[in-house]
Amino acid sequence: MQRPWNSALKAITATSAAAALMLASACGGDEEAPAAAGEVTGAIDVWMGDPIGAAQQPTIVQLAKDYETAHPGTKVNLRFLGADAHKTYLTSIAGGTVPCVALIGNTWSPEFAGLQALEPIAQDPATMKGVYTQSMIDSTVLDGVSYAVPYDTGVRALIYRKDLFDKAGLAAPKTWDEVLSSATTIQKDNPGVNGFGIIGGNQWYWLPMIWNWGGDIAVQEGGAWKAKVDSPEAIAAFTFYSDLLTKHKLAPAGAATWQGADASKAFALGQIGMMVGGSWDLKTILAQSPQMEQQLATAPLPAGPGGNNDTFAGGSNLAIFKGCDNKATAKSFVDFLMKTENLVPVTTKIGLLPATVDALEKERTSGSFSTPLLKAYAEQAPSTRSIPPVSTWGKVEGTGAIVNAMQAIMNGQQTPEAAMKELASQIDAAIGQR
Amino acid sequence: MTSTTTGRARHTVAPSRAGLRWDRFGLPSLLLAPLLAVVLGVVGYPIVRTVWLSFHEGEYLMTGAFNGVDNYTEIFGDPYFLAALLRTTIFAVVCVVSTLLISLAIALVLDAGSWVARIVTVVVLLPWAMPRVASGIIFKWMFNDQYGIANWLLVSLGFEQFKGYAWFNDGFASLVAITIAVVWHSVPFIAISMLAGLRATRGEVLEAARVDGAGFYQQLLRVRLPMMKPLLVILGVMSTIFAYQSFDHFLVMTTPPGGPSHSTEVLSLLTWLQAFTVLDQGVAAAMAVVTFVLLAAITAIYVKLSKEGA
Amino acid sequence: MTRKLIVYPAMAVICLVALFPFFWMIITSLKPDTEIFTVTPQFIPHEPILSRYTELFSGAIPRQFLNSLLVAGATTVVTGLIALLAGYALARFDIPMKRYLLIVILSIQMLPQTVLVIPLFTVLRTTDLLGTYQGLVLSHLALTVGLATYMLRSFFMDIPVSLEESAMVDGASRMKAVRLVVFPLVWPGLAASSIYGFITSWNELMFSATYMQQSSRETLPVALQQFFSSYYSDWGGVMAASVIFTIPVVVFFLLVQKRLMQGMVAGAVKG
Repeated sequence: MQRPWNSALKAITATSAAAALMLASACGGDEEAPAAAGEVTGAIDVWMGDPIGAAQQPTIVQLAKDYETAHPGTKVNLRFLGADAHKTYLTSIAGGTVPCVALIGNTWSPEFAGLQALEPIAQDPATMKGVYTQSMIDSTVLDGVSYAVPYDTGVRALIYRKDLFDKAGLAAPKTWDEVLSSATTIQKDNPGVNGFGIIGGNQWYWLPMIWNWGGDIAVQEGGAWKAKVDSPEAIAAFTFYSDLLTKHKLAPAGAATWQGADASKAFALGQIGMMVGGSWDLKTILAQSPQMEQQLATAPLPAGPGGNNDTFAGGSNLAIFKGCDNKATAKSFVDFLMKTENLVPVTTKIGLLPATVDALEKERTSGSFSTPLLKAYAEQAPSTRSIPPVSTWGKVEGTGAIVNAMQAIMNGQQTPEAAMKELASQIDAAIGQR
Repeated sequence: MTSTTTGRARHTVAPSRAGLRWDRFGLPSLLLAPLLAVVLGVVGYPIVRTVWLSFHEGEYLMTGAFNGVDNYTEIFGDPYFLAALLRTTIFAVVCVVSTLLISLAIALVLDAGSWVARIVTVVVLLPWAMPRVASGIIFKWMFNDQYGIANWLLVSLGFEQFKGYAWFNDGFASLVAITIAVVWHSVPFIAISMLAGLRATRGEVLEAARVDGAGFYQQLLRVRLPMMKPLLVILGVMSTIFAYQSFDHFLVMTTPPGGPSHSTEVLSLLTWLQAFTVLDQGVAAAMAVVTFVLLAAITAIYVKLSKEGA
Repeated sequence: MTRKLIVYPAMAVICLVALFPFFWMIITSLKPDTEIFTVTPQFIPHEPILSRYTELFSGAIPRQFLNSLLVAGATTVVTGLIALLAGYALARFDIPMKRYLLIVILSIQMLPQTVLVIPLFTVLRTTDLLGTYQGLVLSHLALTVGLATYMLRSFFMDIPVSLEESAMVDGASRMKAVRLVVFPLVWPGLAASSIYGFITSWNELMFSATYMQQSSRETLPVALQQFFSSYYSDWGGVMAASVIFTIPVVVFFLLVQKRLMQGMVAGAVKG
C-alpha cells in the first residue's frame, strides 16, 4: 500500500534536491564580482520592449552572442517583453531592478528620464546633430539633455491588395473618403475579404487621424499643455474610424480589440483588402505568407479633411539605466549595437529604418528600403508628427486611456462627444499642470 | 495530553523542573517559531503596512505625506472603481453559485463509486493542475471570434448569430467567457471536496432514511446536504475568495487588461494596475483595504450562517 | 439500471469538458499555422510539426523552466518544513490561545493577494530581495503555509498519541519518538501539502510578474504572459509554451494524486 507513495516521495525528494542544487548554482552564477569601474567585463541585463516581429528575437540573440565573443568575460542577459512592456519598465524603475540597457519606445524616453531612471547620453543634444535623424534626437531630450541613443524609426503607410484593387479597377485611395468607398467595393466583390483592417486595440494606427482631420492632440497654451481631443475635428476623426467598423462593417467585429498582430495575420490569410500598417507589419505579413508579395502593394497614407496625411513618427531608442552597476559594459554594448554593420541587418530583417544618418544612407541604397514595396514608407517619412514631448505623457499611454475612448465609441458605451471629453480630461490630468 | 505524557515519562527518568517547562512551552514555541515568523513577516506586517499606506500619498510607489482619507474619497468618487466593485461582486456570485452547483452534480455522479468513477475522479481534478495563465490563454483562443472552437460549436448547434461573434468586444460577453474559464478551473477542487463530504454522510442516518422510503432527492435534501453544512460553508467561503481574487484570467484574456474600455475591470486587476501601472500605491492600498474588509465581512456572514443552523 | 443510464453519460460529459482544453492545447501546438487559422476546426493535425518545441527549447524557455522549478521546489520544501513543525505543535500541545491561532492560520488563506502585493514590494525592495529567488519564495510562503499547516495538523491528530508515548516509555526522547514513530506515518499528509504548495507556487502570477524583473530569473507564468506582443502573435508558439508549463504539474499531480485525494478528503471531512 505504501508503494505508490514511495515513488511520489522519491519524486519530491528528487525535485527538492534538484532545486537546492540549482539554487546553489544559480546564486553562484549571479554573484560574479561586479566589474571594476570602466572595465568592459561581467554581465549586463538587456531588455527589448514589445518585439515588433518574429525576426527580432533571433537577430538580437545572435548579436548578443557576437558581442560576447568579441568581448571575452562579458555576458549579455536578454529579456524580451510583451505587449505590457511599458508597465514592466515602470515597475522595475519603482523597484530599482532596472536592466542595464533597454530598447524603449521613443514616447517613453522623456517619461523614464523624468523619473530619473536614465543615464544622460549628451548634455548638449546639438552634438548629436547630423549623426542621428533629427526627429529621433528630439524624442530623447528632456529639459535640454538627451537621455537615449536613437536606434530605429518607423512610419505607417497603406498596405493594400493590388490584385483585388486592379480587378475592381480601383487605384490606391488618396483620401479617407476614398478608403471608405474602395473598401466597400472590395468587400462586396470578394466574399470572405474584409474591406479594411481595423486595429482598435492599438492607438498608434489611428490617433494620427486627429491630425488628418485638422485637429490636435494637445497644444501648448501659456506654457501649459491643453488637450484638444474634444475638438470637433478630433471627434469627427474618431467617429469616422469607429464607423468603418460599426456602421460600414468593413472588418470582423472582433477588430475593435485587435492589435497590429491580428490585422497582419488576417491580411496574410487573405482576409483583408487594405490596412494601415508599419513597414514591420508588411514584413510580418510577408514572413507568414510569402506569396502575398505578388498580390499586395503599398501607398502613402490617405489624407483627411484637414488636408494632410501626417502620421506618428515611430521609433525606438537605446537607453542606459542609472541603476545599472556595469555601465562600462552597457555603454560598450550600446556602441556595438549602433555600429552600422550591426544596425542595418536588424532593421532590414524587422523592416524598420535605422536612426543613424550613416546607416540610413546604407539602408536606402542597398537595404530593403530600396525595393518598390517599401518606397511608400520612404515617401511617407517626411509627413510625420510627434506626440507632446512631456515626461508625464506615459500616464496617458500606460492607462490605455486613448484605446479605452475608441473602444467605448465602438461598442456604443459612450457617445463620441462624451468619450472624447473624458479622454481630454484624462490627458489634461496627466500632462496639464507641469 | 501533555500532562499524561510527562506523567508516564516520570517512571523512567524524573524530569527536572526546567525540562518540564521546556516540554510545555519551549518546545512548542520552537516548533511554531518558523510559522509565526512567516505569518508575522510576510502576512501580518504587510496587512498593517497596507492599511497605513492607504492613508498616505504614494505616487511613484514612494511613501509620501499623510493625507487622511483622501485616497478613500478618491476611490469612492471614482465611477470606474464603484463599477469594478459591483462587477466583481456579481461575477463572484455567479462564479460561486455555478461552481457549487456543478461541483455538487459532479460529486453526486462520482458518488456512484465504481472503478470507472475512480478514474473519472482523477480526470475531474486535472484542470486544477493546469496553470491559470495557461488555461486563460487556451480559453481566450477557444473564444476567438473567427477561429475559436466555441463559435464553431454554437454555429453548428444552429445559433447562426455566433458566426464571427466577438466575445471580447464588450464587457458582458467577455465576462461570460472569463466566468466559464474560471469555473472550469475552480470546480475540480470543490467537487472532490464535496465528493468526500458526500461519502462521509453514508451511515446509519442515511440508511434509516432509506429504510423509511426516502427517495434520492429527499435523501439528498433532508439528510445529506444538512449533514454537509459545515463543509459547504467552507467551500462557499473558499470559492467566494477564489472568485474575488481572480486575476490571472482577467490579465491574460482581456485587451487591454480590464478592457475594452474598463468594462472588465475587477478589484484585483484594478488595484494591481493602480499600483504598478499608475504607480499610485496610496490609492491602490485603499482599494486593497476595501477588498480586504469586504472579504472579511463575507467570511463572517458565512460563518454566522453555519452557526445558526447548527 | 436507470441510474446507470444517467451516470455513465454524465461521466462521459464530465471527462470531455475536463480534458478538452488539454487536448486542444496540445493539438494546436502541433499544427502548422495554416491548420490553426481555420474556421472549421481541425481536430487532428494533417501535418503535425514539432518545430515550435525545438524553437522554444533553443530560446529562453529552458532557463525559465528551471527558474520556475527552483522557486516552486524551494517553496514546497520550506512550506513542508514549517508546516510539519507547526502542525505537530498545534496537534499535540496545549498552546495558549490555540483557537485564535488556528483561526489566524486559516484566514491567511482568505486574504486577497492585493493586500500583500504592495507592501511586500516595498519590503523586498528595502531588503534588496526584489527580483531574487529568495524574495519570490518568501512571498509564495504567504500563500502556502496556512493551509499546509492546517492539513498537516489534521494528519497528526489522526495518529494516536499512544504511539509516541510508548516510544518515550522505552526511553526515547520526545524528538526521537516523533522522528522515528510519528513522522513516518504523516508522510501522506506531507505529500498532500507538498503538491498543494508546489502547484500554488508554480502557477502564481501576480507576485512573480511584479517582483521577478530580471532577464535570467523570469519564471514561466511571467514569460507566458509576456508572449503576446502588440505587433506579432504566435498562437501555436504560446500553446507549445503552455504545454511545457503544464506538464510538470500534471506529472507531479498524477504521481501523488492518491495521497492528495486522501489529504483533501481528510481535510474536507473534518472541515
